[in-house]
Amino acid sequence: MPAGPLIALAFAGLAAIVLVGAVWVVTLGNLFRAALSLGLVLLGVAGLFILLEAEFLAFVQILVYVGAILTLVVFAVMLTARVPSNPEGGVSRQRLPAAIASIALFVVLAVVTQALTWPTEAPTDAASLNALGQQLVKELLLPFEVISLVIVAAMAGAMAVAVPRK
Amino acid sequence: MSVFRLLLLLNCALFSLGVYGMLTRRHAIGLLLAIELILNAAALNFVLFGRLFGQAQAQAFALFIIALAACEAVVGLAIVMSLARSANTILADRVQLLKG
Amino acid sequence: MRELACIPLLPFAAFVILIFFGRRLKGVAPFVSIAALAGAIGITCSLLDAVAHGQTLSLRWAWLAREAPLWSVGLRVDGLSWLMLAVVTVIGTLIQLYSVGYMRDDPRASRFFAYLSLFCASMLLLVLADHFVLLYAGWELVGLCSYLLISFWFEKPQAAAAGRKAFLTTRLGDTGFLLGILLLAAVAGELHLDRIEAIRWKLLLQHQGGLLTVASLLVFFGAVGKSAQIPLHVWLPDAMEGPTPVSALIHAATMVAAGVYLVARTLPLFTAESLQIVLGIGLATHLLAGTVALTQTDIKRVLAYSTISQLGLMFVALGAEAVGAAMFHLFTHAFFKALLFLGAGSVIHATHEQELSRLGGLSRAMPFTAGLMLIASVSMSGLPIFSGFWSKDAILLAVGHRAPWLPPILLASAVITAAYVFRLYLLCFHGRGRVPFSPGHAPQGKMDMSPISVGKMDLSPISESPWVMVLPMAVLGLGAIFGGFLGSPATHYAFFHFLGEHVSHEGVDLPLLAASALAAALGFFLAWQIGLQGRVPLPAGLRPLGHRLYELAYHKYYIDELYDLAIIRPFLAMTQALSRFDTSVIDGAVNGAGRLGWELGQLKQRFDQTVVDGFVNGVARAAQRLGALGRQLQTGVIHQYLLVVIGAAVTIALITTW
Repeated sequence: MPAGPLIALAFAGLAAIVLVGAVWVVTLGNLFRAALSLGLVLLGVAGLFILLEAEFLAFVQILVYVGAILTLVVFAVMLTARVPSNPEGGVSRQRLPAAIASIALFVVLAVVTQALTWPTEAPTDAASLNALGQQLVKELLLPFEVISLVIVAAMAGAMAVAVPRK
Repeated sequence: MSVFRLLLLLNCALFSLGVYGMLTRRHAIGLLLAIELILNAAALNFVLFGRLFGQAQAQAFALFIIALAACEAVVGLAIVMSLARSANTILADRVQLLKG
Repeated sequence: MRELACIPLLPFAAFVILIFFGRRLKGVAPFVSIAALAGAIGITCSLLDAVAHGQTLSLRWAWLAREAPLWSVGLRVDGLSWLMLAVVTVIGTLIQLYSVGYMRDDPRASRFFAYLSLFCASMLLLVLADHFVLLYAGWELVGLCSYLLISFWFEKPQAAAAGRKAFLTTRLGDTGFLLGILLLAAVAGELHLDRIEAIRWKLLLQHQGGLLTVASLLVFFGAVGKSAQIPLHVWLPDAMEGPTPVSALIHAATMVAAGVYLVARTLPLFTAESLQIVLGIGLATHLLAGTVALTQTDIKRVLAYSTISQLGLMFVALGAEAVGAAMFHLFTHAFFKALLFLGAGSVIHATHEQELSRLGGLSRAMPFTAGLMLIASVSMSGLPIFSGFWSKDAILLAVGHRAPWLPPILLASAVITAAYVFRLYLLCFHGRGRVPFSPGHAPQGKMDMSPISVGKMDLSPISESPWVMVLPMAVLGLGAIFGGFLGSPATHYAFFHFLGEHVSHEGVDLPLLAASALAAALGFFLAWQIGLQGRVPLPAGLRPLGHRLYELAYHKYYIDELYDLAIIRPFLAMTQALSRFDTSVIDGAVNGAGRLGWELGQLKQRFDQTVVDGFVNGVARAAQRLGALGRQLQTGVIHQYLLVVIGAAVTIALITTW
């Protein structure tokens, strides 16, 4: 894993982007903007993937998430724009309990994960794309096939649900 | 503190922010956005640990997460659309079929 | 020898194609099945050389369990089965060709050809099988096809009933056959047809000759059902309700001969006692069915009884252990009897009439049919040179060795045979028509029964059948004339050598030849005198007796009535008695039990309403109150549920960490 001040800087920048974007996603009142912020987060995560030497995953992230899912979300936001949706600013009444619960969750997670011990030095060479492909068609063949089945089922189900019935 | 630990903290934050979004968003699509945050946190975590232990399998699972997220978004949005059509609302807390 | 499997598979493929796409193929449909069968002929012919040199070709595969040799079924061809293959494929092809013309106007013709193909496939499987179970499968399949084809015009109630009767009657025989197979499997542990000798010796060495007799008689019982021998012959005359090509193929040439083939194939199983029974049943059938055939007035019924009678003759030969003679008669009979049926079908096709009393004088209108029918009749009557003569001759010589008293009886019955077949021919094609015809395809249009037109029939609209029907008949006619030479001195008894048999009588037996010719001539004379001219050459004193015998034969010896009286009526009476027992005793008991239950129920109801319901309602009311409390938690708002989940997760994490 490459190291150095530039890399550290890149990490810090991307982390900042992800964090700020995530905050926007959950707090912005305008849903359209929230969706765009999600795009920011996704791009930031893709950048982090690259830094973690998972380039293939980064491309998939951009292709699938930014290219497909986000587009879908934006479409959905626009299609439902005429539905009365925003009488109270779109924000719930249970903000305070939610904030308390989330912060508690964060604290628990942070404490638990930071307490773990792991190798101080990561292996120098990252898992190759070749290895990933081998994994997919050998050991993980069954989950792989199941996922494809799930995708087909999801598509059929989505059509069945979304097509207006007479 | 190494980069890994910091990134792990970032993941926790991302996850908690997603949870916060799910708790506060009333708009159904907003809920879906928050779920995407959570899924991303999980995927990033997989990749992070995969890098740490030099496992290719972790990336495969991150890939599965992305695929499942796509499914979830498709089905979720389909539900939102039909909800908007049939109940004429997309506020998740207006739909109270489970109310006892 | 993979091409062996192709022989039954070709017609089966035709069946599959026709059953699924027959309607779309329309006019091409018959030719699919004809082509398949012609392919089977080709393969059969290619095997001739090897079989003629005494080789046995076989193809075996494991079935069920690879480890159990009992169940490795397969196909196999030797002289006997090659002969059957040739008969089935050649006659089947000719009859299918004929059917193209016969079934031209039938809307379900493609279905008809599909069934015919399935029949041929099953029959070929039956003939090729080297294992009793495989043979039985073919046996049942041909039975099924026979049922489907007899009741092909199921709109006619008689046809549907005839199909049912055929199916149930042969089922009786089949059950016997199945029991025989099971018995063999149980006591001998062998079911391969090429191990029959071994089975015989195994059982004889274990001093189980009685079991062998039982097993062989059970197998013979199956043959009795399929080949319509007494007492299971009643289905075959009724089976004439089916289309005539079916009668020719299934109920004259091939399927009914399967019984003969079966006995010929399993002959080593038959002990002396069972052979006597085979001979007895064959002889009884031969004589009784022959006399019935003399009196029937429906063309196809005459032919049906004649078929039964001739099959009886084959069983007589088998009973005398003359396999070659029996198979030879089967071979020649297939030709002339199929030809007779096709000729009858041609007449029916042209006139829409099959009652002999209303036919006559057709020889001018249908010269080819008449000529070919004459050939078949002559061949069947056993006039020398024609094929029927050689095969009957062979049977007479063979049984003469065994039982010297038999040939005279068979010669006498040859007179009967000649008499009924010529009676049929003369009544159909000579003399004057007795009732006007309503020819063409609109019988209702010309139902003019005025007395003036009675007595001479209007021949002009009746014409010869199309060439697709005449051509196959002509080929069969060639077979009916020359087929017999295969078993004659002219070819050095090639037929018997082909079957691997030793020929004891070389040369022509002149007295026998003269006797045969005399019998045929006498039969012709009787048919001409009694059948056509209506003269009865009996002294007046014997006339009442003759009349009574005629009545007896005309009513088929009252066997159908006997079955009705002895089996069907008692069965119905028994079921009615059982039904009465049911309604009075069993229903009474059930109703009594029901009433008792009802009274008990009344008591319990009162207890229920006061004590149990009170308790249950109390519990329910308590649960309702609790539920009303808990209900307030269920807001239906997803965010609140989520908050609870997250809070609980954090709490659990905190508890487990500290």
